[in-house]
Amino acid sequence: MIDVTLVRRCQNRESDAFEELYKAYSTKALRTACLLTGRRDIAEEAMQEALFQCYRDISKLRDPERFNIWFNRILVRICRDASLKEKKQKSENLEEDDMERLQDDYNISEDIEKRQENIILMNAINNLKLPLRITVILFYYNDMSIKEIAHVMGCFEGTVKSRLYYAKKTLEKELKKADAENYFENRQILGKEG
Amino acid sequence: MIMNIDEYIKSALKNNVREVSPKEDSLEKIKSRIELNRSESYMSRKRFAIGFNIRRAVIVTCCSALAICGGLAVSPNGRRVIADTLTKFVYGYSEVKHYDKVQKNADLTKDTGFDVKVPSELLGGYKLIDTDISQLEDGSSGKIEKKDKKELGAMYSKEKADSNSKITKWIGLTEYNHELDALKYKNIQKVNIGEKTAYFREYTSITYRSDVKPTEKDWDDQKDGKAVIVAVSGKKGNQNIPEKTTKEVRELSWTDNGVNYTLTEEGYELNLKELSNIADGIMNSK
Repeated sequence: MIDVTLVRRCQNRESDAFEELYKAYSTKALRTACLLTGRRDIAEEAMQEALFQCYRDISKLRDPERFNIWFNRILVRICRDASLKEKKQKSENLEEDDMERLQDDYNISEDIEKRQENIILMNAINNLKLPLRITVILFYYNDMSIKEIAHVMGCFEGTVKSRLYYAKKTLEKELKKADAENYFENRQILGKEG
Repeated sequence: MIMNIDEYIKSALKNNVREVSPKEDSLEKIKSRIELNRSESYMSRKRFAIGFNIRRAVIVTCCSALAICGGLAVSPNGRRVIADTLTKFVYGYSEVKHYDKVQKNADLTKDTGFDVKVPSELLGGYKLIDTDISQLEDGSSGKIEKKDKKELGAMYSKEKADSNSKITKWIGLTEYNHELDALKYKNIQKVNIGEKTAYFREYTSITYRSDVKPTEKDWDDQKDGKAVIVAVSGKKGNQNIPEKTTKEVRELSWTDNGVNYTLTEEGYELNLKELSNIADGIMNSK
């Protein structure tokens, strides 16, 4: 839920308003950036840059109710630039080791099976092309509507829908593939035991 | 794997980052960045605004006038006056209204008394940053008298990124109901923009610290239109203000619907064609 009054207070440069905005949005922004870039350090920088630009340009936002779209547009642009820059230096996809390190860092204490499924799915998401990945994250993690995502990404709603469709199909395919591999692995183990 | 894929994706994303939180010093880092940007932007904007506004005032009075910035003082008859301090307003334009948000042309027209065209963006991506309206005031008799002459000044900016940092490029647009100053100068070049005639001029903006005397050549150049002399307040020993600095300026002036326009840029970064295209955009804006 957008706090329109808080956005207006920031536009009027009221003291403490920005700190409140930071408290309200920084964690979600950082987590979104983390998912978009796949890197904690880059995400931290992206979140800081996005909030800095937000402070600098918030007076230009004509409709405070559109703050969420406007802010996410800034954040996505910064993360996209960072990802592309990173891609030039090395592969933008997370290596399995990195992913496991990321998981360990966050102390996710789940059962191994679920954790493996998460890793498979996250790897699949990270392997999606950037526009598809952004769409998936904004839709599933940020709970944004198709229309809002279209505004954030500067494309037609139909494009967002088709990106979501292809992303879901790809992810389903990857999961089925992983399931099948597990199934055959289990069969082989059982066969040997039998 | 018989599970709703939507829920599955949601859950994986959420779980993947649920322990991620901003670093303790994040807010402080953002605040430092804001402070740094504020001072950089302020200095850049102030430097341009000083030159821009003073040139506007100098243009109106006469060629050999000397402007003192801060509170503005321009000698009424072109006397060569240098003051050490800015205590007395003499004759020039004084701001009567200031807007930091985009205004409707109709509202600005009402405030100035003449038809204005202030696009929110100029060709090339220059965005309107702020607008002010100034009115000619004569305080030479000791009592300030407001005249009918008014100016609207609009400042536009665009951030240019080079390999290391971002630089702000400023463009000034002045709209006024007094005489077109460009016609006074020898170094103007006529250009046609659509069906209108515009006047192009290049000159050097020479900024002196107010305790330093301009050279005879500078005065002659100002008379010919090759230079505009600006003085900034400061005294000997003030290390922050250099004795003399120069900037190359390009200006394009024209008349549209009885209102005179002057487009100003510093640094010779925009050529005549680019300035003409921007002017054409202003002429055709609604």
